[in-house]
Amino acid sequence: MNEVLLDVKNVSKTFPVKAGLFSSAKGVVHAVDNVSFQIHRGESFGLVGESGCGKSTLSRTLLQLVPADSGEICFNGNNLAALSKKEMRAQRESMRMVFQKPFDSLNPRQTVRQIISAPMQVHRKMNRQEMDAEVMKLMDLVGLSRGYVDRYPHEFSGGQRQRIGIARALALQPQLIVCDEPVSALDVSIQAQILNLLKDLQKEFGLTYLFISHNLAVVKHMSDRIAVMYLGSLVEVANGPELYRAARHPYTQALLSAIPDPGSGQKRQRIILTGDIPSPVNPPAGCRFCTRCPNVMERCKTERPALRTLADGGQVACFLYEQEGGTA
Amino acid sequence: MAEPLLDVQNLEMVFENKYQAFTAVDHLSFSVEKGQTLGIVGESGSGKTMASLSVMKLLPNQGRVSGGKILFEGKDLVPLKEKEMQKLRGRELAMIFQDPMMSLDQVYTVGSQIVEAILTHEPVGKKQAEERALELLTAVGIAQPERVFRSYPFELSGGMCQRVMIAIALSCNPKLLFADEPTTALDVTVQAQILDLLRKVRDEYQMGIVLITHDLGVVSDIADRVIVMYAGKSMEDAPTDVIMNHPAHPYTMGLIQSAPKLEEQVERLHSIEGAVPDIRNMPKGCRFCTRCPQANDLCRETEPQVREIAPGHFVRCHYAGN
Repeated sequence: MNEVLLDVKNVSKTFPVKAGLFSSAKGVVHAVDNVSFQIHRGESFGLVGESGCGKSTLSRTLLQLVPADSGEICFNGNNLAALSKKEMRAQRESMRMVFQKPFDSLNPRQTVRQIISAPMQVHRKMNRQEMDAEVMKLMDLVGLSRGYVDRYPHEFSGGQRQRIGIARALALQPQLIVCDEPVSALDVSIQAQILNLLKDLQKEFGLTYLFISHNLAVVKHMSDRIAVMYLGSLVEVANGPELYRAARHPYTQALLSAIPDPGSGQKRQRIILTGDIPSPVNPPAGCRFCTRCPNVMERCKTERPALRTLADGGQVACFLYEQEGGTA
Repeated sequence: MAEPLLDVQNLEMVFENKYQAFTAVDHLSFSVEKGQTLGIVGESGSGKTMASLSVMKLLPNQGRVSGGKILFEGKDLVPLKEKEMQKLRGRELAMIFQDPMMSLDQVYTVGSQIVEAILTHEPVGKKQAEERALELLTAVGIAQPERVFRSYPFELSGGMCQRVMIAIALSCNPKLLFADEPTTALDVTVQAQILDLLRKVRDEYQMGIVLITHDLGVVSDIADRVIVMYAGKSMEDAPTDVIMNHPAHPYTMGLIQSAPKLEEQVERLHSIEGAVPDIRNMPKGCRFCTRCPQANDLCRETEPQVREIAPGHFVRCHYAGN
């Protein structure tokens, strides 16, 4: 449990912004800004944040689908950026992804059989019979009837398509699965089915998840530890129950209070943030959250707080907690 | 109690072509009073959006209201001609839609779209309309109304566009506002702002609001009364706290239990097995019988009627409340 599977150190990714097709870059979007965290084997690591905060870019950087500008990503002790294409391909077998939109992430012209067996064709030398047996096994695992194997994606509902996507991700016995908003396109009752399936599979195969969502309740249900992201940076990392019980960063507190919760009888005190997320092209100097923070101080506007580890192991990037022990 | 603002009785809505017809909304009744919020909750395909489009008479081509009454301030909207309906729409009834970015015209400035709405319905000059538009933008909590007035929709964020949509909807002081998933496309912190704004304008203008959503959290936050729809029918209809704390229909219970909660940690979520039945092939008895954990032969054979199990608490289930 304590072995580090994925070690992310100071990763940044920027994209140039162009004014027109032929003009030179006008500025850069700081999509991911100096992010560091570790995921241990067998754990579920949640990443939560609002749209545009860089969660999806971060996940794509981790899988080397887009190269990081700087920083180091170590998977199983290998620095991914230093690997050759061939070596990277071997690593990809054990790091797979489940995508957000089950409608867009499956090729409409391939049957379920072709979709699920594609990773095996790329990475394994299997004959037809072996591959078919494997596909059937995967269909059973994700709860799809074997009779559907020669159907096309459009014949399935959203929940079933997400099951196909999960079967494809499982095909090569991966170690890490990055789930990028796997249930946000689904209805509540279907969402629960998929979340349960993901949890069962984790138990059965000892999988490690990076679970990304904008929905804090979903992330909390799925994750052991949660990182909160705002405008490209992590503002807080904590154990799930602690994050909910005693959120430290003002942004996390606001995010928690903004969620309408049908379960709670009494109304919680609401913190309503003013304004929108600032543009990542031109982020505020100092703390990224200073333009919307209810507890903003003069210092926050010029100086940027670093993510510090506090005594209980939680991490927070905020000057309010500077007095509490721990290390930078 | 005074006459309700909107009283929908046994609304039936069908999709039809030359060969066949499917019922999308089946005998739905609800009413809204001034200053009240009614929540309509359901999964995709439950008919909640079609119910609201029926009232606004904005149904897609193959759709048609085939039965029931839609009484707005006592007047039936069903037989109204398009011209008469146009007079009501905007001035008396307004609607905001799910995707704020898509519902604004990308090639006109925000200001001109608000002004257009005002000029269409009110006997005022352009100058006055522009002043009113700026007032409205301020009222919906936009910090720099002059700048937004001159902006195009693509220059604004989703939350800002939804505010503009609300400003347009409010432009002629409607009595009733339909909000179809107004916050689904928005982030939670922005959603909280928009819900707060809806609550504010409701209280200020004594407007009736019909809020259509799939999110029980949103409903519990703002609605006074909730209707839970499933496969075109109302399954349960009760005051919000009754629905949230003492749901009687197995579907409502399932919905509430299947959403992950913040304050409790459970190993597995309750899930409703299966999927919503196809509109072309509805089960014979209770619409929910294919997924209901308690279904028996009676449920599969006979469609349950709506019963009032407690004052103001209506349920469509053979066994609820027993």
